[in-house]
Amino acid sequence: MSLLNIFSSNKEKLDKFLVLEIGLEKVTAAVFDHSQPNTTPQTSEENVSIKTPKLLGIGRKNIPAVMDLPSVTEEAIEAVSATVKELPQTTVLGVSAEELETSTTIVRYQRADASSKIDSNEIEQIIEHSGKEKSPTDKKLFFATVTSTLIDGTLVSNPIGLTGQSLEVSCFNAFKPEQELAFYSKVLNDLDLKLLKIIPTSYAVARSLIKNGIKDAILICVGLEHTEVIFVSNAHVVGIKSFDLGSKTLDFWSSGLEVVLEEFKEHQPWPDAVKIYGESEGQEKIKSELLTFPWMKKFELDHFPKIEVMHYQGEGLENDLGVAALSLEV
Amino acid sequence: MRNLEFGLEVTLTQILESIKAVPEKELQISVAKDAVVLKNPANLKILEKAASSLGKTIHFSDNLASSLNLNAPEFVEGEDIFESHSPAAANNPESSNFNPKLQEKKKGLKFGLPKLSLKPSLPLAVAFLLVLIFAGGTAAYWYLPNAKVVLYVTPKSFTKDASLSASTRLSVVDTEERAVPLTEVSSTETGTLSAQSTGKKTIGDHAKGAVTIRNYNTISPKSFDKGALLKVVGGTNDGTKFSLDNAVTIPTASESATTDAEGNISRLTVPGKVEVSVSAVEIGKGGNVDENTRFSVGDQNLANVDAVNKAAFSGGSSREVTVVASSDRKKLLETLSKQLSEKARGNLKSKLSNDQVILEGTIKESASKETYNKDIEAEASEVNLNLTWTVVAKAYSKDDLKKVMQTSIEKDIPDGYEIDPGKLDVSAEASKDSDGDTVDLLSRVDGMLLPKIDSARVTGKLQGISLSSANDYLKSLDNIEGYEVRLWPTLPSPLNTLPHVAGNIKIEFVSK
Repeated sequence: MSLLNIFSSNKEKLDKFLVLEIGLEKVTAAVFDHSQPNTTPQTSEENVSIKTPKLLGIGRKNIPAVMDLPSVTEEAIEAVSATVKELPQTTVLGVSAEELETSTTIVRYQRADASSKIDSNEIEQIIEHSGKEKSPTDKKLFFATVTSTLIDGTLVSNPIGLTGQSLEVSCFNAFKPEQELAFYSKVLNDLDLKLLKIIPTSYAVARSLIKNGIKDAILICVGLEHTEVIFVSNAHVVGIKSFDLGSKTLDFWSSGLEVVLEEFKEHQPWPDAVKIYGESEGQEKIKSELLTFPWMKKFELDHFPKIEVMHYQGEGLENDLGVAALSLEV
Repeated sequence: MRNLEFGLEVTLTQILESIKAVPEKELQISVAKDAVVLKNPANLKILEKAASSLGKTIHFSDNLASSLNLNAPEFVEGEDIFESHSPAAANNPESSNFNPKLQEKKKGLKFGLPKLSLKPSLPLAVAFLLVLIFAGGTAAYWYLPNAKVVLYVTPKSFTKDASLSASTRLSVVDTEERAVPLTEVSSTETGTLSAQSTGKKTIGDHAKGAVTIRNYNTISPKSFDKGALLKVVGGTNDGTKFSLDNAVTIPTASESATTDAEGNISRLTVPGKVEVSVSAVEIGKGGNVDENTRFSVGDQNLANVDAVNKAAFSGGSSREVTVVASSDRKKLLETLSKQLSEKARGNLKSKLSNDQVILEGTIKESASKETYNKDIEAEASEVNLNLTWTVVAKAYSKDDLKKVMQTSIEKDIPDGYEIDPGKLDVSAEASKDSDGDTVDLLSRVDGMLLPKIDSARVTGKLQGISLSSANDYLKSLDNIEGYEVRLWPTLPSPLNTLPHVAGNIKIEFVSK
């Protein structure tokens, strides 16, 4: 799978495509269509508008046990097939943060020929290099993206076609066990689906919110027995962590949060907002837990962060912020 | 120490529940090597932290300890962390209780006047004078100097929201349950207001008269109930309706035949007749029809049954009058209830103590008595309303709220800081409507944190030390932005020290 499809100026826009979100508690399959008018749902707390392509149909299935994943995925796809006549093969796959490792690296170098134009090969080499440098021994790189580029000290949105001497490229890399990636590949092959992109769902959510103006926040995705935490600072995803406690296990939940947030303790400045979203109904309980969490003492903050719940309501997409964000990846 | 063993499929929640359930305080945790729970390195740290919050200590078996890198040294051997953080403090070791200047102070200075001999001698007098001067100088040096040490601090503002509850069933604050008492207050106001009527109605009388109903049917009589309709046929009043004042039965018609001298037969039908009184259906002059007006009766064909009046009808009339409209009463209620509500709310506030605040979202208002002097549609140029309006609300005490909020934020105050009690402000609103005794609150506390500095301790440290030592010490203090030392008098070094008497050192805190 090609890691780079970011800067191509003539990106072919697909009409219909399938979004498959494999979470820790359920699998969601949704079919979108770019050729039909977009919907503009709102989150009730934030006034953030996430404009997705037109949703044609959606199917959801809870996961009883990991080994059931192929049949659960198949059932979710069957559910969406009931409402959508022709199921597209092109698929965007969103995966959970379990056993996910992420890294943000900056590659700086002086180009041999400053007058030659930067092309996609050069950027691809940089990404692969940064991925190899930071690759954990037991995991494989499956998603990499350039988050910012500086050419001779100037920040650019797209370096392809530009010239310059000194290049500084920030890359976000995501790694998962090779066995798990092979597992997903087999599931998709068995269902005759063509994989366009595989991306951590949390990253897609963070990216869609950053595009809507959220520059600094701790995003917390709450499930019944799992939680994912995304640290966003200065409009970049600094890291994604997860732990195996959720809204069903409130007794120890804050210990889990504290452990994962300690990984970001040295990062400055800290975001001043915490935004909660997710599938479970326990988001208000989590909010109450966070309101009593000793933020200032534990992390030496100057003030309490603002705690909010993001309720996402789209046409047919209730609390499916992950699916909505994945639909924007095409 | 209790050993807890777990297999491959164990979840983090299950291990935590097990740790919580056992009574032992010290536990050894063993998990199967390839257990799913070990795939996330955060899970072991979560176990440690959660166990610590339960007051328990856990030790991991060897294969788990390596995952946590528990045996790695936490600091470089040989580095003294205390010294590296506060080099100034190293020169004034806190552990040392010895302060030679304090020792002197404790001993005190004693001097007395030597006995004067009766025979004064010059050398002795000079010596005595010198001793006096020296003693006086020493005393002055010891007791006179004073110093003002200004410590500049920057308070930190904070805001915290919390969910609490409030109940009319509580009489005192319950900090454990995070609940404050509520007091129910009410106020009632009565008032009267009049307004002009704006409704219009047409009233009048129905025309009356008598008609003769004629039945041309020779076979069957015709009966009509009271209220049966008659309609004018033809003329200017065509269609005007009347109704029978009484039920009536008209006998059949009779037929006779006569033969004239030539033998021609003439048939004559004489209708059955009954005179009956009628009234116009509508009020007004339109019912005053002329004599000899013909009427249809019910749904009967005119050829079978008709009616005619011998004399003109009279008595029909109409006029427009002013009446009370429903909108008149509605407007009166709106205006008067608004006036009484404002008054009642004002009185409500006067019933509260200085510390009490009405809880927004709990105010309920209603009309306990509403009396109009005229009904809707009644003829009247004016209508008036007598209204009794009651406002009921629940109030809480700010002091009570402060007590609960203070308890909830105490554990979150960073080390080295304390709440400035004079700058604490609280507010609350009902987070959802409640008609019952208990209300859920969303409360907010705004305040300032001041650095916690023990003035007496600072004074003790500064007593009798040199200016440069005082500078070093003051620089080492945490949580201050700057300081100033004002000494009087300024003496030459090495006499230029801070006062030896603690009472002569004033510590002042100034917020930046």
